[in-house]
Amino acid sequence: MTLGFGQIAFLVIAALTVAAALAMVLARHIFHAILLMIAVFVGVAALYVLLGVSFMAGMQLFIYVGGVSVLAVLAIMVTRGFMGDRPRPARSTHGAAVVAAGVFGGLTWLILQVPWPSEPLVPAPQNDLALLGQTLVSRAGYAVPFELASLLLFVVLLGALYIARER
Amino acid sequence: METYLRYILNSLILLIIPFASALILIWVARKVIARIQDRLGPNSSGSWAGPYAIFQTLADAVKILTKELIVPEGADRVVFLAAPAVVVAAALLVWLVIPFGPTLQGMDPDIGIFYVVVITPFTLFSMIMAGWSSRNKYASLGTFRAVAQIVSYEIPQFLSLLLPIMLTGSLSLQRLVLAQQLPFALVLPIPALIYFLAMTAEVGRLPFEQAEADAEIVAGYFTEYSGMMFGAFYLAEFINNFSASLIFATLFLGGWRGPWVEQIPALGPVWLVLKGFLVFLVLMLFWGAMPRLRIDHILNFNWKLLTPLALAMLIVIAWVNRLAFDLGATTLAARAPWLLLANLGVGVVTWGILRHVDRGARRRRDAQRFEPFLE
Repeated sequence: MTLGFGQIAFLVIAALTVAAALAMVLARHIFHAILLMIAVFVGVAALYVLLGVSFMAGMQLFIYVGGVSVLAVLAIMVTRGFMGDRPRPARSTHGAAVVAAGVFGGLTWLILQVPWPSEPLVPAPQNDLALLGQTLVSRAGYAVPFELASLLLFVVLLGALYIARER
Repeated sequence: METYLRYILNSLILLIIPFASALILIWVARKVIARIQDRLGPNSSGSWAGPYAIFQTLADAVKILTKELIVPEGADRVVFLAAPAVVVAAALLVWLVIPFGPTLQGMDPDIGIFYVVVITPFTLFSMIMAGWSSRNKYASLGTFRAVAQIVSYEIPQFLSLLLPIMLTGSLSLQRLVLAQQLPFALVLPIPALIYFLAMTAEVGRLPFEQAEADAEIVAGYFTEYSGMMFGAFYLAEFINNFSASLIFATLFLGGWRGPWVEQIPALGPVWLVLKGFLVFLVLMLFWGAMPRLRIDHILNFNWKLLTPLALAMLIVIAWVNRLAFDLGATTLAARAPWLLLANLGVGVVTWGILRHVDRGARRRRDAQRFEPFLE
């Protein structure tokens, strides 16, 4: 195997991502953990870019950095003192470690089991974003699951409204 | 090897232009605001700053570079030092995709404008990093305000962004420009206005300048920064203002399109920068002329007016656009009257609702005020 630009970039980014993930788990302070979590998300997005799926990379950043991480910061802001130096509670790390190890083992087993195709199944079309959109909303495609997902989000919104309602 | 050299050269150009334009724009902003406030602004007065003090910003930059960098005691050192780097990086990343001309663009990814959208949170995170690591009340307050404001104004911004995308049928910024036989601002005046207001809030200019309200919380999230670290925030702010103006010009004012641009392609960047500069001047006029809104007013304005209005616009325009298309108006110019009419309709309805709500509120207020006398 020759090491081209893609391979070197993959190795560097993957190593950085894994390092950031480890540092995030080991971080003493929850705010550091969030910043490192963002680094992990950005690393995964960079891997998507290397794979040539920039839309997935954009979604990754949009949902996880713009959504989930901001939500985590907001949660810290409104609950634990934003300026305080309280270390994060370490009660449940053992249980979390067991769950994480289980998920890791399962995924590894799956990856080793699945006969991965070595050739791309379909040739990448020029404008795959438009194709994605058409597949999602066309009647022959996935219009019903797509609409159901929006219904689910709507129910979540209603639930949040119900909880946050002033009584 | 040559391609790599070209990459490096291109990135250097993309790196230098924003900084150079920020140096000029800071001078412009100071002059404009001085004129609004009936002052002269920076002027030479016999020093070496040149006529009209055009080198004033350069002198300030040199001065700021020589100043001491102070990390406050108790601050989180690594995060504190990383925040200015992140804010500048986030400000520069946007410039990669701005189309200055038909072929003059750092990169035209297929996700196009969506790239600009996903870069936005990094600026927010640099603010959060700065505000959290400073361990300072004012910085924390500034961060709270910045997060609340930016997270909420993203929504109408993205919603109004969807309309030019819908009319174009592509996310690519280049195609967005090419699709504008008419500037989208003429076809979609209300979404353009929503986008402009949301953009003003995103870059934190008056009247939405809560994150660094200098009369209340010193300088907000970057209160504790000194020297060039402060300079980084200041520069990034102006770079952000200008790049947001350029993006607005690209989305709604026709981008690099303009007279004679087909004959002389080099005119493309000139038109774009001119349009962007005009938008920037409006931002500066706001800065000079507007009062600072209270944070709850800002959030109410967003959630109760801009977001519902943007949603309504999205639905109405999508429907009218399709209807006009089915009735044979296949070009943008042919659909323009339809879309304008839809804008007018939504505008009139919004105005009516606002008037009605305002009347109701006023009646209730008056009733409360006169209640003691009635008893």
